[in-house]
Amino acid sequence: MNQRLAAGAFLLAISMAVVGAATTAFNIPDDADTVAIGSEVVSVQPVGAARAQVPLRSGFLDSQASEVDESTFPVAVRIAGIGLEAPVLSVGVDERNDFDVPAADTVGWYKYSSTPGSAGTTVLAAHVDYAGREGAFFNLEDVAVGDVLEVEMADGSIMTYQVTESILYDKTELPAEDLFRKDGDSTLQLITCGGDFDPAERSYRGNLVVTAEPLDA
Amino acid sequence: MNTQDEMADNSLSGPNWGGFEQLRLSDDTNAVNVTIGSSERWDKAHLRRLRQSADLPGLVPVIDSDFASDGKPFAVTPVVDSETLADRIPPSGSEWEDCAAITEAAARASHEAHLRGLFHGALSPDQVHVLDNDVAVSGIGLGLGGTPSEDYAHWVAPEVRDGGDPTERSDVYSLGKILEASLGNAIEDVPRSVRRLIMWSSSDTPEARPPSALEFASILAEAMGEDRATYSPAFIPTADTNDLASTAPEAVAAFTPGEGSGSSSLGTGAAIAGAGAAAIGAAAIASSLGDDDDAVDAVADAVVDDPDLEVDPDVLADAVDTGELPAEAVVDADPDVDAELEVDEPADIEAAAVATTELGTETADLSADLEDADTSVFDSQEYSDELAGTAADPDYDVPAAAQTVDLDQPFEPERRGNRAGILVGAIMAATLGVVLWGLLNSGDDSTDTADPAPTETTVPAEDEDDSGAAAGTDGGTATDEGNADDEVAGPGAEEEEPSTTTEAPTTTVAEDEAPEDEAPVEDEAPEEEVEPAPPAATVDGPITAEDAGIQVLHGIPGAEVDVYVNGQALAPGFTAGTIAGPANLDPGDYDIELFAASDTPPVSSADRSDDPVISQTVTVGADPATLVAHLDANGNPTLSAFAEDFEPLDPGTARVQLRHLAAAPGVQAIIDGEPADGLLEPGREAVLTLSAGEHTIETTTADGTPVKSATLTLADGEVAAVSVIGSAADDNIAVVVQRYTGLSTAPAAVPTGNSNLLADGEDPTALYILGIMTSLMAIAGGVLMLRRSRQVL
Repeated sequence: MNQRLAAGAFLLAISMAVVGAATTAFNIPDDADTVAIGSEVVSVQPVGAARAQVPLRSGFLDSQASEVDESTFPVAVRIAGIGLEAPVLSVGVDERNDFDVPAADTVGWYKYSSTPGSAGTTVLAAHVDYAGREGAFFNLEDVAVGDVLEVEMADGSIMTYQVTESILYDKTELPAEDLFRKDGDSTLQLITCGGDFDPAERSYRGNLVVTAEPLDA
Repeated sequence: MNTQDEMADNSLSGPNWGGFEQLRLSDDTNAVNVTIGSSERWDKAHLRRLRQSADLPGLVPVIDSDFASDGKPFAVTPVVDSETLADRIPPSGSEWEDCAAITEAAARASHEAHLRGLFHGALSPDQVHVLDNDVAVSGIGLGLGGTPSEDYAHWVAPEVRDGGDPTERSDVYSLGKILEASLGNAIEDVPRSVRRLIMWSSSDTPEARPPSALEFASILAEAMGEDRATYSPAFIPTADTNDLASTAPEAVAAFTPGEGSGSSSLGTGAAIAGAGAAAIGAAAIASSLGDDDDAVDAVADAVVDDPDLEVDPDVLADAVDTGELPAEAVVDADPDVDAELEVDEPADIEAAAVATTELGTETADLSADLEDADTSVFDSQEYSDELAGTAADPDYDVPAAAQTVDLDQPFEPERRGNRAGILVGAIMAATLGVVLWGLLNSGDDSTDTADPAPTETTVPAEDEDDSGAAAGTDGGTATDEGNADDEVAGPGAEEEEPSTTTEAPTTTVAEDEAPEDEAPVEDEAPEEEVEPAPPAATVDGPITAEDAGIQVLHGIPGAEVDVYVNGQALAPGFTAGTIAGPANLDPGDYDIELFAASDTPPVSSADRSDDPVISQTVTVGADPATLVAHLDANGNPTLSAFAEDFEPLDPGTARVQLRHLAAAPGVQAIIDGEPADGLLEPGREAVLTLSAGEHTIETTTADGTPVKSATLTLADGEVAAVSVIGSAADDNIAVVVQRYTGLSTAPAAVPTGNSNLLADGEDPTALYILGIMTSLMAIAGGVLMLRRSRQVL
């Protein structure tokens, strides 16, 4: 969000409110002007001395719902094009603050990313290989733009996605802030390793990122 | 923490840790264990979870898991006759470093199982298999529905001993005990953070332990440093045992539990392992062999031939002499002790199996004796004392459930500043409170007042406090507050920061000068009669840190006030517990007047006929802050301002700014059952870094009387300002929470490959299999033998 633009719009709205309020002192019009600043909605009410109202909210805990709805957690991913069907586990980070990618042929859902279908990115990562074995995303590089894949949630519902891009990044250039985005369009990110292998580090130098968008959004 | 007492005090009813029977199937070259599970608890989902763990490195795999034709659930696991961690305990010299590294690997393997809903319940050193540089844990998921054997009580979390299901945190308890044993007498030499980890993990309260095995491993890894020994998860191949496993259903269906099932299979293993002898093999094999002298010899040979099995003849002989260890269990275990061992009924080897069964009832005593003799476990009593001393140490810091807590860091809250600098003087009347901010459009100032909030590079205005908070830490981990805009701060450094700091409010609220010069900007004095100010709008949902601006919190329960800023009324309806804002306010001074609530508060304070209860000037800085009207320690209304700490958070963490704004003496904060150091004085805040997730925050008085408790579910990257408001005397203490989002950072990396399989066709798996095969024990006898076995998992 462009802050300056928002601020400008806000000021304009306030100015209009002030003008409009000149003859309607002390009344709260039903059509109070509203402008958006970032994700915030500020109601601007032309009142008496042209005061702009500031929102109020209750700070008591019982007024704040913060239930975690586990039924929306992803539990499986299917990519027919590469014959993949793998269970999905909820994972966080390890002590290096790295994605705690689960071992072997299981896919990890970054539990601090969005649930499928909600705003922001849903991030799934899996090994391309692990301790000498193929990981769940061994064939992820064969997924092509346009391919369709499915994510199943704990409640049995299924989200269908279509791949929009597949990009191999150098690990030092991974656009992490975009991949792990908590707002904006609902997007699925599938991440694994790729590119050259660094024998000294026992690690690939790149991350393969497959991005997909909901089909029936 | 007293190991001996634990062993002695446990009166467990269950005969067998897992509550399961176990069969041994073997052929020429392979052997598998078949665990028969709890019919009540091993449902389809559990069997599926067990099967799904089959391919996990670091676990002794479940080859198959199903229901037999008679409905009994079972799981087949390979017999891994490798060295175990128990064989290395107690360590001598620097061996403890390896033992600690093995424990770390066991913790990481356990974490993988936990992720899949499988828990152990009685993890112990003899179930941590060491195959060269690889580690595999056995028994995970097999204990569900069982009752732990008292012989394993030392390793079992109290809630599981009491009949609870194993959980992530109960396994963390076991890992803590294993780590303790892994250190042996080196306990004095290890980093303090390792000792704290043991203490933390050994808490009787599950919630007070590290939240996960990964967390346990992470702390241990960090304490041991980059150069520590590391062990990899072992792959135990199962291909060769598939045929054997396929016979399991039939064997299970044919199996009839014997009346001797009151014994403890695990207990046997524990006692024998505790004796420092590898009679495990002997006992197991004895129970699977036939009834003749040759079988006795076979047992002996098998034991003697295995270089990993080291029998201490004296220990065994003594145990037999005192009747603690049936002679049959150690028949010919070592040629050197032949003469000392009288085998009463050598012809009846079946007795050996029975004897090992009976052994289960005696193992507790044996273990205790062995400990007295200092032949195995290190002196746990002494260590317990030390831990107790540590707990009483005033430097004891807050483990909390914090992802970033470093147990090695003494927690030394910085108490700086003088409340007088921040609070406005005391006031009168019990009504009151509150505050406010400048009107968004104070006349022609409006162009300025609508400046956007600081963007994502927000730097909280509390640099001084940060540096103070970091004082007293070691390892060069002082808070790097200058790097607020670093995208992802170095994880290592971040994690070593003290997680709790006590900060004084930062924004200043100056003593009032009457606001006469500052006539309300909006001077269109109402021509009409003074009219009531309108109610304010409400807003739901969290606020992004970016938009936080200046907020006002009404923290005086029961008080009704009208608030004026620069002479302009803030909307009434602003009651206790309500937060007004955010507003983007120009930095500067604002005149604030508080009046006792009026039914028809005039819009301008100039029209009030009564005198303000409080008249103060508040200085607002450029950074997000909250102004709070609250009661001071003596119950007088006052005004404080707190800067919000909007430093970016490490991935998976959240921050709590706990503010004591109630008319009550200093409070003890208790996070997830773990007390923070020192008292939080009135008017102050403590800043805690916690893992994202649910946390319980309690406050008590110094003598432990509960003040208020709240349970919060914190999101990744969330900051929650938790204010305790009200008055203890009036019994209206309450908790008010302001939540801010948007401070999360992405994981530092996504490590998703380590084997270079993309590049070539070579299959490194072969190496793993080769390494493990050499460790697998070949069991004598060409016939498929089925016999009840009392074998350590």
